[in-house]
Amino acid sequence: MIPYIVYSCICILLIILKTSVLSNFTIFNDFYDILLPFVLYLGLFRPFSQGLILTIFYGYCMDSIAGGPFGFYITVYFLLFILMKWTIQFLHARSALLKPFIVPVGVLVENSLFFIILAVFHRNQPAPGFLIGTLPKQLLWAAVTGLFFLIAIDYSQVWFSNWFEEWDFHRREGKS
Amino acid sequence: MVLAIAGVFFIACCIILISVSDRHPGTTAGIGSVPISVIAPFQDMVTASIEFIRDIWRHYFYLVSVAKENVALKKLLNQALEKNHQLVEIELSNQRLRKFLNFQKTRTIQTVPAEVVGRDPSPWFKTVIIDKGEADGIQKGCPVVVPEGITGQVISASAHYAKVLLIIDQNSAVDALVQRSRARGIIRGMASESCSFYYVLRKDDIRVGDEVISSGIDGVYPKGLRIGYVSGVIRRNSGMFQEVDVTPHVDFEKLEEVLVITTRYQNDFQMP
Repeated sequence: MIPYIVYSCICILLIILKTSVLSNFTIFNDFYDILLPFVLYLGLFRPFSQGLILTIFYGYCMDSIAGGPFGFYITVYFLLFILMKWTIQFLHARSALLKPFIVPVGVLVENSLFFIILAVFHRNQPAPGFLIGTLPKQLLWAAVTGLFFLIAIDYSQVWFSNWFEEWDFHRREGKS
Repeated sequence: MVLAIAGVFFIACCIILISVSDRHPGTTAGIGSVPISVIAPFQDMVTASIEFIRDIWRHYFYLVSVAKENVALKKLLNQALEKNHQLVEIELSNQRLRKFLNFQKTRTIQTVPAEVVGRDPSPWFKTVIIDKGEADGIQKGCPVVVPEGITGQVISASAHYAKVLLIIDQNSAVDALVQRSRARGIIRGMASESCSFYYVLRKDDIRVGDEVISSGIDGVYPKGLRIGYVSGVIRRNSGMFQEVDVTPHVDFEKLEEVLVITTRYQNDFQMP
């Protein structure tokens, strides 16, 4: 239960960071979806059931806060999660060669899904040029920061797992 | 196999949900109100802290150019006072004329000031979260303005917070007219910092720099509120309409405080 609470708190913290802190700086206007590296991490390195529940929760939170149609982020995150689970059947996720490309590919897939949904549900509107203009900037941000995000998440996860095991061990010893 | 079927079923459910919420935005507003109620107070706290730090910077360290600015502002204030005096005269004459023409009495607009506590986490949608909700009389559909002009409208409200769809969002639409030539059309967001003026007939006279105001016909925004100015006109040889770009007066990047109009607006064509 504790990992779920920790990951949920991280989700809320990241949403607050993106919506109330980073939004004050113009340089971050075209920053990619900040929860995306977490969704990718959950898909690549966490057990299926835990990752799935957290992915849907992340999507639900984003759908509630964002102005798009409800269900958009749940769908996108779910598809990315499944894609990551499928990918690790063929590729070694911890490979140093693969890691730098995970987040940029995730950004590309997320934007592609957005374009598809926009095309399906807004057939009368032309795809705004702005959306095409913002994609390269998001990819650049992802290429520069994505790897560090993944390393930081992985490192935090290992640290937290060790701490949790130790805490659990002491708790059991105390009981006996 | 079971997992694959469950996955496909889940995606189908999500697509139905997107379709429903896209066509009827109000229907899913309740589902998402819980995270807003949890996250918005923290956003409020963080924004207040940032504002506090910013205020310290503005009021104590950034005072070098204030004296010069003060002189310039006093000059502008004098001009504004003079203009205001003229406008008072015009208002009085307008009231007299309205009386003569037996027009519906102009309603007093009630507004609630609110602070922006959060912005949309995604670059594709343009919404903000404000720190006033249903407890302050704000309801879904209330127009939101700033002194510069129209900002947007409330799309969902919880007890103490509300989500505002900005006019630059691609899902936003405002019935508008050009102040000079009275040409009508619909202002739609482009998800960037500008809007497009749709359905303006080719025969209509529109020039770059023309002021665009709300027409009041949509029943959401009161008539005469400023929206922006015409920044580009393309009149093609074929087609019924011309392509018009409008730059809003509101700087959405620096939006901090807004006014929510809580009085239900009725235009001259609606029954009281």
